[in-house]
Amino acid sequence: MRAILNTRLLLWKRQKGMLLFWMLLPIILTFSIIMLISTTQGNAKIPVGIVLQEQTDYTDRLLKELSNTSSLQVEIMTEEEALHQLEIHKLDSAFIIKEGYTEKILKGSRNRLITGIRSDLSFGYIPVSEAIQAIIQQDTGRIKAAFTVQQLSKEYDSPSIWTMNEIVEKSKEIEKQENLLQTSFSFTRTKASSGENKSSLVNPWGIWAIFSFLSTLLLFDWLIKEKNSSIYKRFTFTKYSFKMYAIQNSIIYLSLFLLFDFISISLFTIFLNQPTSLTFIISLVMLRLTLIMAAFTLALSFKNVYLYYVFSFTLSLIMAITSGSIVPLDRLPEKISVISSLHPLQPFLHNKIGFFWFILLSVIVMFWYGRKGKFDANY
Amino acid sequence: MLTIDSLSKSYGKKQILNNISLSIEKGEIIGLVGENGAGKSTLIQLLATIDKPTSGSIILGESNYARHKKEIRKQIGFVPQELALWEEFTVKENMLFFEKLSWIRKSTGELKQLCLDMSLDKWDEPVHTLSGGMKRKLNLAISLIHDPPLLLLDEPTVGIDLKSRKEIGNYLQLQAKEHGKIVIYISHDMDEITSLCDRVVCIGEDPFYEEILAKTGTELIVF
Ligand SMILES: Nc1ncnc2c1ncn2[C@@H]1O[C@H](COP(=O)(O)OP(=O)(O)O)[C@@H](O)[C@H]1O
Ligand SMILES: [Mg+2]
Repeated sequence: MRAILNTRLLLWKRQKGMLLFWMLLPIILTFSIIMLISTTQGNAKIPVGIVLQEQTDYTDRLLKELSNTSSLQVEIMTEEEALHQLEIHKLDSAFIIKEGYTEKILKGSRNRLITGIRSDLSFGYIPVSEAIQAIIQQDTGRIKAAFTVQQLSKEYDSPSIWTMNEIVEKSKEIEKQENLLQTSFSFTRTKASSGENKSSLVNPWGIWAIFSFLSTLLLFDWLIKEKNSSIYKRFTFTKYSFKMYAIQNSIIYLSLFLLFDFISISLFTIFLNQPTSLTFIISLVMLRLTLIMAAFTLALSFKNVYLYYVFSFTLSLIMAITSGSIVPLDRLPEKISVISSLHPLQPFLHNKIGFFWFILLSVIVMFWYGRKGKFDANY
Repeated sequence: MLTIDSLSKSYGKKQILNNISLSIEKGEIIGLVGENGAGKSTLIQLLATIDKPTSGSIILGESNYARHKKEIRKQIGFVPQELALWEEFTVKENMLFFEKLSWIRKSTGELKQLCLDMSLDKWDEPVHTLSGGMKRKLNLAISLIHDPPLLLLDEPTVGIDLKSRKEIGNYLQLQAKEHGKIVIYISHDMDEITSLCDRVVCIGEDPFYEEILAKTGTELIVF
């Protein structure tokens, strides 16, 4: 390994600038795009209309939570008004809080509490409906807990000390205390965890993954260049076969990529408040291994390096579109389940460990390694 | 000693080499001549283990090519017909790069000396700025980093100046006579062949080569 590392260092010495540029590109572009989005998002919030068919403490609470969401501009209006504004694209989407909302919450029913209406250019429909679902879930959960407590005291025939309302209030109080605790713990790192719901429309790791995909492919052009160069035939008379040379070099590139991956994790955790867990790190390492093997097998199958560049850009663009992390295609991958199960970036974007491409590519690489080479007389 | 025994090679139905037998002693320089397409490069490639004969055997020292390919390769210095080096590297970087990949370790001083031995003194200059003769010398020097006892050269001096040609010739002569290496050498330059080689092998009967070599008294073997 040391010998090969030394040969690679000689080559890197001539390509320092390019190497550093492509290694840093995913980090720099992720930060730029996130910054761009958060400034435009700050100026132009997503307009969302709310139609109230009844007004109680519960609907007030829902409204308050939505108004606190930084990316949304919430307006209360009548149903006709909402439909009209949707038609002329003044609203992104509208949500009708139907009559009987409070009653259904109190019964613990979560069905058909709200009707969502969206324009065909809707951007905020999914984050808003997700936020609403979360609030409703919280409320019905509380009611359920209160109901259970009452039920229990009935069963054990003890005199009911608390009314339903008291229990709900108590649970809110406890929650508040817990929230306070959480805030004081996370005070130094983030303001977002308390009060303001920072529902971000883009996942930084999604952007990062796509540019990493591109930079990994492009940085593996060495394999095409060296395989096609005149020095290739010298490997018949060296200690290392070209295959061994290529594999060891890929491991060297893997190490360098991992170094920059850990730099990315650190920067994203510190500056973008991205949570990190062991599963996430494993998922990222698996993604990296998969990317390296993909670049390796692709580079091996190309003769013309410029064709390979064009192919790499095209493939990255396809990845970007189908992953939904840069172009929000309204959850395309989830609708078309084949894409979602075969998309090489999907496991990583959902904090899972992807095996499909990893195993497939490992088999291809092992098959290639076992095969006889071109400049290798077969006695 | 290199022993070639009833060696034949065909590509499909086309027979290129027919029943070649030859014994070469340590310290001998053998010239390979013949028309274009006669099969000179084919024979060199068989001797370099890059290609496999249709029939016949090759034995280097005690080792049979068919059984000890890996061991044989360590003993071969193969100089390809085209330049096989990093154009953007300096001479030094080229030598260091291939030394790392080589079976044996050599110090930077030893590598530099190897270049100086064939009058390649542009140690720190990028290869793409060098003359054709200098590049040919480096092409040869890289192939000799691991001190191989068998040197196989496919037109190593094609298209270069007379001075470089002479310097390469002198170096090969020194390697054969002082260090007992076997040198097998393809060239179209009859002056070079006659002055350098102990014996000449002509692939294919060719009255032209036979006449010239008869005049100079060089021993000629025709296949
Ligand atoms: N891999 C191959 N497949 C088929 N024919 C080949 C191959 N390599 C060389 N030949 C043929 O063998 C003949 C000898 O080629 P070569 O050894 O390169 O000749 P020389 O070096 O003497 O000019 C040529 O006719 C060439 O076309
Ligand atoms: Mg030839």
